[in-house]
Amino acid sequence: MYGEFRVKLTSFDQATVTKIFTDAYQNKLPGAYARSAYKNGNSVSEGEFCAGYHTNDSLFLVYMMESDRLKVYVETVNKKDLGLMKATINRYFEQVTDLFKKHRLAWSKPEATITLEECPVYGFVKTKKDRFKDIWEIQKEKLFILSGSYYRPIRKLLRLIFKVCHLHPLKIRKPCL
Amino acid sequence: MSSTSTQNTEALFVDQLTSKLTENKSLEVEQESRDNGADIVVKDSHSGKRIFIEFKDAGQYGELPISSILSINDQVKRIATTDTFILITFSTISNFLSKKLKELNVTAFSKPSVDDVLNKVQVALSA
Repeated sequence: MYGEFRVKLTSFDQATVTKIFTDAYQNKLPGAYARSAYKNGNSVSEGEFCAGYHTNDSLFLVYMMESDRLKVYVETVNKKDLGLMKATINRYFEQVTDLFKKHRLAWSKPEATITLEECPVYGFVKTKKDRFKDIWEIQKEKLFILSGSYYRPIRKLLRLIFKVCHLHPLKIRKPCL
Repeated sequence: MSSTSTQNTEALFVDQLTSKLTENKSLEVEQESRDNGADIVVKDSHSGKRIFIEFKDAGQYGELPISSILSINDQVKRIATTDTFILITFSTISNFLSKKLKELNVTAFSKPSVDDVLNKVQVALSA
């Protein structure tokens, strides 16, 4: 499982971009490349990246710019956790865009992709009955919250119904404020 | 193009391509070959030449990530030098990735027609 995010930069001077990353993350490109999946394949060499950074659980590599597009490769040590990958992409994306903001480098059109390779995906299909059940649960929740806060007549009406039916008084959930 | 619609397009494309390939009786067509990791494998029963066809989806945003090269590289390493590897995507391919695919001798098609791929298969088998 690998991640990638891309942004369009209005100013795309490669030297400036490389300097911004090197100043912020020191020269961690060789270490990050050596830990990445790219090191075995010889498909993309270290020279085709302009910066990199790694921690114990993840890394990122910044590709040399292609026209006005900056692309960042993201890899996590745990290759099975999709949630972790999403969180890591978001964390690095925030760091990188904060860096651009600090250097007054305008960016736009953010995009991200996660490549699922040899990563099992589990899921289930909801039946019509399940979907109705979900809708009922949501609506029931809304009704009780509303009746406890703004719609006192509904609460009164419900109490009356329960009284008439000789049921226990309805415990109305307190509104979430 | 959303991921689901891309998958539908891919499934339809695979069906059409497979049915047209199987019209040629000298070709053996295998779908989702797990041994070689390709989606379709076409083998010429006379010459023994094989064509591996792989589909890749870039998801919602439509550009195949550069890291796709990692798995393609693994797949290409597993096949013989006489075999041909074709990549088909309904997303776009960046210039950088396109260059890397050429280095691996991978023929990449972005949003091709079934006939484009059929022509390429015929050319590769006759070469």
